[in-house]
Amino acid sequence: MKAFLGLSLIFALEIIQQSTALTFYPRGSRSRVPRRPTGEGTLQSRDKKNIMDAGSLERILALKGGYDSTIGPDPSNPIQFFTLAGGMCPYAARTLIVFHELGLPFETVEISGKPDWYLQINPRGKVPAIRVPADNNEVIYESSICDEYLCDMYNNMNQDSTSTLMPNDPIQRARIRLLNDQTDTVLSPAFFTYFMNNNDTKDEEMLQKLENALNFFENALKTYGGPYFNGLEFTLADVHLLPFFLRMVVTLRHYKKYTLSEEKYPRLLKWFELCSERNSVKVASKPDQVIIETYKKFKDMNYKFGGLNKN
Amino acid sequence: MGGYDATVGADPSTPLQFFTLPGNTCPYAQRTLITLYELGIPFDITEVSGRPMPDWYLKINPRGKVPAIRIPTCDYEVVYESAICNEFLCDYVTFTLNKHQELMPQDAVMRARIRLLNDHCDNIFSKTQFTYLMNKDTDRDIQLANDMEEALMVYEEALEKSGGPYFLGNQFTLADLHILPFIQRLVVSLRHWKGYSLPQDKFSRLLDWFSLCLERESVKKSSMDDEKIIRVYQRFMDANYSFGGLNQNKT
Repeated sequence: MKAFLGLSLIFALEIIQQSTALTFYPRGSRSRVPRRPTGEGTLQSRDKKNIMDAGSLERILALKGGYDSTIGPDPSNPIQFFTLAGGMCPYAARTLIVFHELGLPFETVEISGKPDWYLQINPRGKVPAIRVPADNNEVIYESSICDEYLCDMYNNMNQDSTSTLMPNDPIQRARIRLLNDQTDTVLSPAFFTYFMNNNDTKDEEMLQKLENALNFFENALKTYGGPYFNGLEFTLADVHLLPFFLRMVVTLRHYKKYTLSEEKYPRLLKWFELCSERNSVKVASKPDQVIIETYKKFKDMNYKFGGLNKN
Repeated sequence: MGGYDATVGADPSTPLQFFTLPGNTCPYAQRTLITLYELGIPFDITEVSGRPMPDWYLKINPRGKVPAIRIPTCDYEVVYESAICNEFLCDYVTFTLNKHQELMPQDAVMRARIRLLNDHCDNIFSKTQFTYLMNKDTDRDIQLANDMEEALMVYEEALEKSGGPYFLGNQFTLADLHILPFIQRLVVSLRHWKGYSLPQDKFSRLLDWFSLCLERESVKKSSMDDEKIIRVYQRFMDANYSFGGLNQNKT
């Protein structure tokens, strides 16, 4: 999972544009819902109920001067979610969707560049990362690992009503993980390589690779009955692909004049429409125009997408 | 011999099928073999080879790689990619057989730590091993050995943090077996071709961990001996093998 930290300075502009959405809470004056200390170990169900009554789930911390990781948040605080300033990172978008699907309280901390204090939190310096005060400030990174952790943690806390985001059936879990592996190791490189290709003679071959990769997903919807990849329930397999699929559809239409055909991908297109109606997905999405502008910058700088652009 | 006819299929009472390379030389497949032995799951081995792999195998695993497992009792579902196979096997014991297993604990933080270590092995560490091994420019050797040691420090630190003797503490888990086959090959091949050994002062816990792992039955049954490792790696050296891109030298 790669994050596009190099562009964070460019995205700083987007923070200023979004400033009406930001509320700055100077440290120490942040209003807090009184709650019983949870002590050590994982959040207990009774405490989860208190936090869930707290109203708004998301607060954004001030960026000025950075965030001092050595102080650390109070153990009774909700999970910290580290993402790129501007929220454009598709990997972090996955974890944002999971937070909303599970209804888990969290605080967003936006990162620009690779400040030292963040490298102490995530030595790879990338997003997403999460830090869990109730689990001794454990830090977890890599989107798949964050997402599975949140599901594991939620299911352990809610054993009578586990989430369907990651089912308990071993075969279904393997299918979901294989689909996610396909997204990361086959589809993403095919998309970025095709998108960034400037050599007209190679376009057809690269498009073929991309379509082969997409066929895998169309077939999964067919084989397992749909409308979601695992069947009737929305799972991590859908989450994992969505932010990439959105960017792919928008940028290929705009820059390559390519749209997925109804004839070849009827189920995949319906899947995307259906997923886009979910609140969690709406929150994590970006408008077409923002995507188009961001990807223009990638094109102009011959961006490598962390090695996924194979040109 | 003559290949395996995937259309015939197996009796539902047939044990799980495990696909690996002949002589079980593949370190990725060895991870899954260790897992199968540790969990005590009955299985049959099917060896497969070829460049490219035969069509009947590509129907089973479209990526044409090992390991893969096929489960007759789950409608002949096929699972591939070593990490996914191994988590599946642990899930299978926990949720289908309803038995306790400790290779993949139920605690959410422990699971995340195991997955992070395994991600580190695959995405950060293993290329340092092969890049150093396959490097032909002796001026770069010291730097490449340093890069590899830096990547390995994560494991030494994990042992320090957990108290050992295994990465997560008292229990042998998927995190130990994920890197183990690579360390086995590292120790033998780097000694033979580079005259290199892991320094005792830097990696005292890791070296203890390694000795301890080698005593496990599952590891003994699934490992190649040193002579065989050297024979297999001689072929790689002769062919300037890319190790699927993990050898990052430019030649």
